[in-house]
Amino acid sequence: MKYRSKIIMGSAIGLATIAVAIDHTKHHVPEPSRSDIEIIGEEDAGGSGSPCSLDAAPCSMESPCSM
Amino acid sequence: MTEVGSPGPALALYNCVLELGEQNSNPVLQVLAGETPVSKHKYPPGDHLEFGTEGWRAFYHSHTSPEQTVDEHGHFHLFAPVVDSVGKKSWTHVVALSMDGEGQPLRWFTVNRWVTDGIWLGAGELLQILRAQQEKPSQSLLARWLTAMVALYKPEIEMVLFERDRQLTRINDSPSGADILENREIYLLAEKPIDLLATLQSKLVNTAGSD
Repeated sequence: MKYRSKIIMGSAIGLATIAVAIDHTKHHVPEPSRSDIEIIGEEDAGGSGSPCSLDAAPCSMESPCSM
Repeated sequence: MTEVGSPGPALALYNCVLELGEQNSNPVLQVLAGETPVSKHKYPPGDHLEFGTEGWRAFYHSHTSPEQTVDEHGHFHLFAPVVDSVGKKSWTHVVALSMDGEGQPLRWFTVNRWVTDGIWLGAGELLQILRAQQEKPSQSLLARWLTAMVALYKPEIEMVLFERDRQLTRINDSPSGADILENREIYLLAEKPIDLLATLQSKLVNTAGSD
């Protein structure tokens, strides 16, 4: 079973094939808007958490507008 | 002889990469869904991404941070469902996945508790949760890509989590005595770079020449 798997893998995928496949997913993504940029660790260091919420941590699952 | 792991997760990820390529897309473009990202806003817009085992969730966002690498565009935060001490449904942050400006994975990393909030679990408990994570073929391409990334890089994620705990122990040995999990001067705790091509090569290409 292991041998069969190897042949399938070896014949189907080569290093160049993988590299080309990855290259096809390399597309420039739009830069984030800088209008409300804040530096986590500096502006959040005062204990106020996210600027869009009361106490939510800046990277928590809580919706910033739900509190 | 080259020792390689099971090609299952690698093949699943490779198939996701192929599918993304066919769509002229990548994971970041998928999650932004045509929107121009705004710093600190969470994506998918107005929602979260469910992936893999039921209850797992993720979101993507961009913001500057003290340890941000110059080539990082933003990152996914991955959360698993847990129940807190009073039986209330809550979340635990498992790991974060940094992405570059071309939508490619850069590194796995973990952050301090104050950054993500939620229930804090030690590496051992997180590994049990991590090992239960499973693929769901019916999910979206982005969800399948994220699930495959977690499956393929499970050993690296485990290393990051254990390094996180070791780092906390080291910091805790310092004389401050403060609650380090809430110390806002401590953001990043551990990280591990990702070389996707090398990883897929080691799992898929080398399989042909092993033994």
